[in-house]
Amino acid sequence: MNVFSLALANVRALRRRLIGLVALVSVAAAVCLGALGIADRAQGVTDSGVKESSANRSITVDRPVDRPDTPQLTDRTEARLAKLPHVESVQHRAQVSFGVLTKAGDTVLLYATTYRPALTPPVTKSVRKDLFPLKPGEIVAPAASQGADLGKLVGQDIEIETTRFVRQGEGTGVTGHARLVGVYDPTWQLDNPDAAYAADSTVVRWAAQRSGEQEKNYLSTVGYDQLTVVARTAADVPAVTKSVQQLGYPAVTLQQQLSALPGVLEMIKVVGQVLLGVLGVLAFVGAVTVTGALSRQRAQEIGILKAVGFRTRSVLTMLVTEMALVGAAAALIGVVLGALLGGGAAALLRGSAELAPYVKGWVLLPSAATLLLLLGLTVLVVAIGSLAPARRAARMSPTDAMKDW
Amino acid sequence: MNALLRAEGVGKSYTLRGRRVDVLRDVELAVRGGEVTALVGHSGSGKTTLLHILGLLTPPDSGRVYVGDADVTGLGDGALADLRRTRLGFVFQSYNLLPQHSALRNVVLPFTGRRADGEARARTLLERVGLAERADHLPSELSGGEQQRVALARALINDPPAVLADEPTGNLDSESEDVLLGLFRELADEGRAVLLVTHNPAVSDFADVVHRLDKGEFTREEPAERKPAGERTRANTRTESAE
Repeated sequence: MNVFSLALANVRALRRRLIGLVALVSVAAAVCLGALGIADRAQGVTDSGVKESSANRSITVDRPVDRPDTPQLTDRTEARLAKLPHVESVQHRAQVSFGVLTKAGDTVLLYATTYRPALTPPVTKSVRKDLFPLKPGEIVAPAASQGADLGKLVGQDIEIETTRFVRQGEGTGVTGHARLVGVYDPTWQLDNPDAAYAADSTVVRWAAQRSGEQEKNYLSTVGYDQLTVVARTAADVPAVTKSVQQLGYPAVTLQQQLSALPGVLEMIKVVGQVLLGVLGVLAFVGAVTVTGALSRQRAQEIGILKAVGFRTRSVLTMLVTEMALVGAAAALIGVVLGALLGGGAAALLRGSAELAPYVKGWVLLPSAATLLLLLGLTVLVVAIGSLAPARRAARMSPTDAMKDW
Repeated sequence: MNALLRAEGVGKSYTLRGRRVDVLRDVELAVRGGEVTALVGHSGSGKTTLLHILGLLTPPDSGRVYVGDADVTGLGDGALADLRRTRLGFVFQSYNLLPQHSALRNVVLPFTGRRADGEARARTLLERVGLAERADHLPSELSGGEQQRVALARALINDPPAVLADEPTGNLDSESEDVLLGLFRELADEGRAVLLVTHNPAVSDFADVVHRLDKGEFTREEPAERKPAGERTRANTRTESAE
């Protein structure tokens, strides 16, 4: 009889005795896959961001809110940075919060943001082909934000509320209207999750109104909250970053910024990687233990096989194949459980506005290559773990093995 | 007829609590085709050890073992396994079936050819031993006599010229014993060599040739007065009654 079909029949017949090892390996694989699936998806989101147009040549200079000694990012700063060597352009960003009042009576808090040609958001629905530059009073918002589906408002005049300065730390709401001319994929995270793009004049007017500064002086006194310096080539990015930092501005390359996952996701990724190692150890130890115990229990069976003419090599192949089949079954069950676990965890993470764009979709599994690698590794580790005890069992003399009969 | 199994000057000893015990000393034995040969002797006489040596399960310490005309002494593990699979069939006292597999799968187990051919042959053999209807039953669902007949079918799956049985009737009632011994007789009539190890004198009465082992040596070789299974059963009953 073919040893492989015998091994398969044995696994089916002995499944109750093998259930512990299958459970151990499949649960470990599931947790590992769930974590890696989430991390893989989130990394995919950030990686796709990095690939966008000139994003990988961009250096971000933020307004130093917590460092009063650092100069403001005014229109003069913009001009100064534009003169640095290897700089193609400097694009500014101003941001100010405002509310969108929905028909349901809720308020969605968004951030009016100036548009930068180097970092065009991925528009998913719009009233016209070329949205940018926007006209005064026009807005491009995320397709969904804070549970509200803004996509269905595209083309409509929406009621908004901005803030007018009263005194330091105090403001009053001012209602008005704007036209929602398009929405973009909310996984676009470059200007915060709730950025709503508007014309420069609109953003500066609302920001000046909120700060109590005159609109014409706003850019030379308060200034922008962020400048994006675009290097001529990706290779120029380190040198330009250094030049900007030497002028006293905190600068970080957009590539670094985009590649960095939020803390929770980074932790999940690390947990997944650690669990991968733990899975390997568990599978190995489990295989050694189970094969050893089963070989002792099945010594007589092994003796019979040898007595009726099975070679030592055939018995060894049969025992190792059994464990490899167990490993494969456990890994496959682990994939299914991992998908469920990853989906469940992702559903929880979607409750956070910051994390939601990173964990879209219901089936969160790592790439096919990672899955195949994990499947292969699990089978290999289990098979290797079973090798030593299986060899000991297979080398027993048939009469010694059958002594207990 | 030439001997299908032969032992020449075979010796075997074990070390028990630091003391050497000679189980077999200079044993000469030939098992011929077409005959039922019985090895008898009291417990510890070495008959099972001799069966294991002739069955290529245990190597002798001295002497030579022949399967047909081939000297198999000193062959490697793989070659001995191949000989056991193709040239010998085993029947053990405790049946030694794999408990997790059906009767059919137990019979097919040592088969070397295509799976379909093995299953067809196994079904034929199960029919021969009267168990065609029980092919899909697990050993635990069969009686002792039925399990032993499955074991005999397994022993025949590769059509070996010799069948070796160690106390094959030891756990059976007299009716099952009759059926099994009848099957052994059929095998001998087909020209196979049948070697039975037994301490049951009634079973040895059934054999064509009886070898008696005592303290590792043959004390006598007697051509048995062959009795049919029915008469043997009555003799067996008388023996038990006398005891």
